[in-house]
Amino acid sequence: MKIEYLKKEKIGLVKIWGRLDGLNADILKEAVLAYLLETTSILIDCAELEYIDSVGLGALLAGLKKAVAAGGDIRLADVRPKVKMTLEITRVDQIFLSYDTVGSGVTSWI
Amino acid sequence: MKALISLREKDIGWVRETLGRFHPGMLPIANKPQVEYLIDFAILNGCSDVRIVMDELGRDLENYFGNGIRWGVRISYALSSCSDNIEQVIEKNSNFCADSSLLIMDGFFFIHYDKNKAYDIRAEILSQAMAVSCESGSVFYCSNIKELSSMIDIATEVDFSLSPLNSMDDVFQMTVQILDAEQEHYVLPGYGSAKEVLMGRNVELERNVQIRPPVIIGNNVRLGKNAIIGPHAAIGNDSVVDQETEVKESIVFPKSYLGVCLTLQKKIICGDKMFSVKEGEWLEIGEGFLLSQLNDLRIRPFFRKLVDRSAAFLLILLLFLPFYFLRTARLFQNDWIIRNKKYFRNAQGQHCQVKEVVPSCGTRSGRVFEKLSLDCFYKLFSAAAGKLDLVGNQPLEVNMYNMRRLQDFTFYSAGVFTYSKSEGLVLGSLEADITERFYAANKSILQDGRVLTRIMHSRFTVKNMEVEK
Repeated sequence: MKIEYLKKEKIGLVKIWGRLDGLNADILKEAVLAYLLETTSILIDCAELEYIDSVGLGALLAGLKKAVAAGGDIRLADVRPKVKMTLEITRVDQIFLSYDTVGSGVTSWI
Repeated sequence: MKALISLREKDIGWVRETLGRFHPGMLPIANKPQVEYLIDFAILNGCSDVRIVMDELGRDLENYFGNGIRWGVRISYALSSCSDNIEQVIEKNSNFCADSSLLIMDGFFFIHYDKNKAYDIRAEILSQAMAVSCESGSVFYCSNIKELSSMIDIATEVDFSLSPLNSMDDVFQMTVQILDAEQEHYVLPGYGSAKEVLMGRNVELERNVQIRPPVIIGNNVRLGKNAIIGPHAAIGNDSVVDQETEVKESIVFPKSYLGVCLTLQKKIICGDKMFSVKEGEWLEIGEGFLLSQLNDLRIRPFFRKLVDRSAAFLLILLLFLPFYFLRTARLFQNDWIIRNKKYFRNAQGQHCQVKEVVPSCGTRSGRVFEKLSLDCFYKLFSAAAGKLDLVGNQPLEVNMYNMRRLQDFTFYSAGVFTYSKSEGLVLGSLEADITERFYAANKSILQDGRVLTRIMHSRFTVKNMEVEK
């Protein structure tokens, strides 16, 4: 898994490549918690996220909890169908705001 | 009239590639195998003999249909070559096809017919071959093979039609269509307990299960507490839908386990694979507690109990000497207290009294005692006597609170070594609860062996912490 972070004005753009599962969810969790120190508005670009499991979901939810507690949010953009399916069946899609493109995700904060 | 059903790889190969679990002819549509609809149609047309011709052996199909006695017809089977066309198939089955008018069903499709209508008049009006076709197959009526070259299309003149089955999307649409508007047209498995609700044998419903018609539920299905089934849901035989899960506009194939708190809409579940009708994609879920394939739920209790009791007896023999040696050491160090506790054995509320060694207060002999799993020594006698499983759920103390918990826990069976301990989970946590339920629903001798090995290994690597309730 690879993670890239870019701060655009007040929004943190996080892009994830590969699989987010039990082997590397901790890495993302630590990274997101670190990014939250800079900004509480984080948009995760999921265009290259191939797969997520329950541990990966847990990492995202941990980040969301922290962001919301600080008055911010973590949102998702460009989620692939297979990842979307996992989000849907576990009802996590009802917790995260999700957008078709990174552009519309960024606009949502304006 | 005789019927010949031809299932060839070029038509059914996509099912094998996608699912692979069963012969494509057994693909369930509204909980009934696709081929069974064809056989029912053949019977409505007055056929007394049916031959099923396949490119590859279909053991599960042959086991299910057998010789056709359940349907009141004679069913036989034959193999064909992948390269054979329908004329060649008929020629190779000439002994079957001779001296009789034929109803030939070639391809992979669904026949829309109505069991309340008469279809057996075709033979009387056969003057030449007639066909009804769709993009994935055809139904022909003919007197002999020579007529096939000059067939006429009679699609507009008959009161049945064909729908292609080329994808899981087609399977989904067919199932929904049958549940919605065509339930009365076919002989569907199950009993109509309410309008548009068909339920099979031995269906167990826990508290507050909601059934929203139209729905079809197979045999030996277990629906957990607060589960919501429907509308437009088909739950296959031997499946488990765990608590708080909603299955709406979805199909669950047989022997599938759906975990806790899931929402399925416009999905097809086949074991641990999920197809999304909306996305048109398959996803293999690697986590068994979300979705998994169930083993045969008809666990042979006698054999499993025998293995359990024998293994418990062996462990007693193995641990006897270290137990008494370390017991003496602990007594000497004033670190030995025994208590008697009553635990529920199973979901039916049967209970047993078990002697327990209170956890060590930290002495060296106590630590070694626990590392060797000797704290479970007394419980092994209960397992050898058949009162507890060797590997099972965390035993629940006999009290009102646990009695209510048992009502929602159909598979509960107390064990000496527990599932949540094997995963190193904190007892009483949500993860432990989910793990206990998942393993109990998937119980098998092999699984129990793996769990036991993991527990023994973890004793030497991780210290488990117990949460007192």
